[in-house]
Amino acid sequence: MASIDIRNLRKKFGDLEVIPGFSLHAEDREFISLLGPSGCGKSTILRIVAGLEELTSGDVVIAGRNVTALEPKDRDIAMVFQNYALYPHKSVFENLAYGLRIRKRPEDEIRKRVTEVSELLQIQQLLQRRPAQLSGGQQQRVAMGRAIMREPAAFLFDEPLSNLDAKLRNHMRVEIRQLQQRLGITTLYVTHDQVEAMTMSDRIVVLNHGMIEQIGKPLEIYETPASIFVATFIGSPAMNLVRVRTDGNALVFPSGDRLSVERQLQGDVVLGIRPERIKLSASKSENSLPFEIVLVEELGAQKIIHGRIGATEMTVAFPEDVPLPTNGASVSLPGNYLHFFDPESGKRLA
Amino acid sequence: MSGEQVYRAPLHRRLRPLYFLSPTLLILLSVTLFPLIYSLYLATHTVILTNPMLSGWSLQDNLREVFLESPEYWESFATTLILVVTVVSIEFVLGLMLAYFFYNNFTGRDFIFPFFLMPMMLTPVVVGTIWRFLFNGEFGLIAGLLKAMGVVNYSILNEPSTALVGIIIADVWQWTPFMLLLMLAGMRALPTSPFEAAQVDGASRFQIFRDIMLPMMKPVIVIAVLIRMIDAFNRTFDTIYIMTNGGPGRVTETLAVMAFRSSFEYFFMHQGAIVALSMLVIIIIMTKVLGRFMAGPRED
Ligand SMILES: Nc1ncnc2c1ncn2[C@@H]1O[C@H](COP(=O)(O)OP(=O)(O)O)[C@@H](O)[C@H]1O
Ligand SMILES: [Mg+2]
Repeated sequence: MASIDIRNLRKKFGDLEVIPGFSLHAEDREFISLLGPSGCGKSTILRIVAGLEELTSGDVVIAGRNVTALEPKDRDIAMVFQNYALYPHKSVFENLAYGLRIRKRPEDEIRKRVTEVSELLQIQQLLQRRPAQLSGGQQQRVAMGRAIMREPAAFLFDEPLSNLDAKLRNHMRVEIRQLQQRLGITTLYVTHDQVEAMTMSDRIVVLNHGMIEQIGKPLEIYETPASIFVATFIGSPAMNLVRVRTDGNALVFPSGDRLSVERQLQGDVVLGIRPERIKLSASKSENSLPFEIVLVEELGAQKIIHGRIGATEMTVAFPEDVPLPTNGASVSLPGNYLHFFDPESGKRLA
Repeated sequence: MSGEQVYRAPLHRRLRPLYFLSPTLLILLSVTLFPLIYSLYLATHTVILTNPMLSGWSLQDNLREVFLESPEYWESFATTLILVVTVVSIEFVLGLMLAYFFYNNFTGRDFIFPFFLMPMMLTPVVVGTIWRFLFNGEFGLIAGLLKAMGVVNYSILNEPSTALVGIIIADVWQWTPFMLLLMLAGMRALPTSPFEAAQVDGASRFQIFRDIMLPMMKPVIVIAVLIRMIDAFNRTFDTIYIMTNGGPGRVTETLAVMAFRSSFEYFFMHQGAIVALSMLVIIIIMTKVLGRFMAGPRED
C-alpha cells in the first residue's frame, strides 16, 4: 500500500506564502493531477513531496511512513522533471543504471533491469547514446525509464510533456497513463494543461494561489465545477459566464432577454454554460434567446461559433456536419446544464 | 548576388581600416613580434654582453651549451615541472573545495567571499615581499611560530631543502583564489536539475559532487588548469625573483628565473634567449595537448 498523504502543508518563501494550507490523500495506485495556472504552487508541492524543498509546516506521509524529515533518497520516490534532468555526461544506459549503481547492486542485475526497462519504453537502441544525441521525445522516455528503474513507491511528474510538440504530447499522455496502470504505482502529476489532467487522472486537484479549488474525478469537475475559477479552467473552449439578474424564476440578461429556470435564485448570479451544451438553431422556440453570429472557427470535428446575445458575448460549439442557420439564429440553454455561481465569492451555488 | 556583379571596393578603400588600426598594430608588433624576432637572433648568435668582441652565427654551439654541456637547464626544467605540477594540483583541489563551499548558501557568504579573492588582486612583487618577510628567520611571523616550537632562527627560504616549499606556499596563497573564481563560475553555470534528479535517485551529497557535478564541470576544469599551468610555467618569475632570486644555490631557479639570470646577471644573452624560446615551445605544446583533451575523448 503506497498511499501518499499530505497533511496541512504550508510553505513560505521568505515572507511570501506560496502554499497557505494543503492536504491531499492519494490512494494506492491512484493517478492524481495537480492542475492550476503557472505560479500557483504545483511544483512547490511536488518538490516538497520529493524532499527537494523544505516545508514550513505540515507532514508528508508515503506508504504509511512519515518522510517529512527524510532526504529525497530515503523517500522511495521517483521524479520526472520538466526539462528531463538527464545526466548529460552519462550514456542512456548509465542514466538508467545510476540509481542501482549507487545502491551497489550487482552488475548482472543492473543489466537485466536496464534491458527490461528499455524494452518497456522502446529505447533499447538508444542505450549507448548520450542525452544530447536524443530527440525531446526520446529524452522524455529515458527520464521515465530512470524513474521506473527502482520500482519506487510513488511517481512524481512535473509537467513532463510541456516541452514536447502537440502530437507527441498526445501520444505520451496515453503511454504514461498505460505505464502507470500497468505498474500500479501511485502518481502525482503536475500540469497546467487541463486536457492532460482530464484524460489521465483518476482524480484532479485544481489549485489556485496554492489553495485547493476543487478535488474530484475529471467528469465531476467538468460537470459540477466548484467555482468560477474551476469552471473556466476546465473545458475547451471555456465555459460561457454571464452575470444576470434574477427575477422570480427568470434570469434577466443584460440585454433584457429573459430565460426562465426551474430554480429559485436571488439577487445577481453568474450563469455558466459550456459552449458544447448550447443548442443553436434557426427557429425561435420557447425559452430560446436571439443569437447574433460574429465569427466562426472551423475545427473540422466541430465549429466554434462566437456570437452575442444582445451585448453579451457567448461561444457555442456546433457539430460540423450540421449546416449553420443563415439568418436569425437563436440559442437555447438546457436547464440541466446551467451552472450558477455567487458573483462575489465565485463559489458554486448549491 | 550574381557572380559578375560583385562589387569590390577600390584598394585604397579596403586598406583604410588598416590605416586607422596602424597605431595599435605598430605598438603590438613592437612589443610582441619584434622581441620574438630579436630573441631568435639572440638564440642563434653568440651574444655575451661582457665580451662584445664575440659574435656571429652559433646555433649549434648555443644549443650544446645550454642543453648538453651543463645540467643547469635540466635542473631548472625539473624545478619548474615540480613547481608547476605541485602548485596547480594544490590550487585545483583547494579551489574546487572552496568553490563547492561557496556554491552552497550560508549566511555571511557574500561578505567573506571577497576576502578569499584578495591575494589574487595583489601584484606578485608585493606577494613576494610579504612572504619573504613572513619567512624571514629573524623577525618573520612564521619563524616566530617555529621558534615557539623550539626551532631557532630557521629561515625557510634560506634552506635548500625547504626554499621551494616556501615558493609553493606563496604561489598557492596567491593563485588559489583564481581557481576558486573559475570553478565557482563554472559551478554556478551548471543546471541544477540533474543534481536534484540524482538526489531523488538516491545519491549522497558526495556522490552527486563526484558522479554528476564534477563530470559536468570537466570543460571548466580543463580550461582553468590549462590557464593556471601556462601561467605558473612562465609567470612564477616575479615572486621567486623577490623571495629567493633562484637560490639558495639554484634550488628555486625555474626556467623563467634562469632565463633572466643568464641574460641579465651573467649577460649570456644567447643562453637566456634559448631558455626563453624553449619555454615558448613547451607552452605551445601544453596548449595543444590540453586543447585536444578539451574536445574530450568519449567515455564508454
Ligand atoms: N525558490 C523560490 N524562492 C522564492 N519564490 C519561489 C521559489 N520557488 C517558487 N517560488 C514562487 O512560488 C510560487 C509557486 O511556484 P511554483 O510552485 O513553481 O509554481 P507552478 O509550478 O505552479 O508554476 C511562484 O510565485 C514562485 O515565484
Ligand atoms: Mg512548475
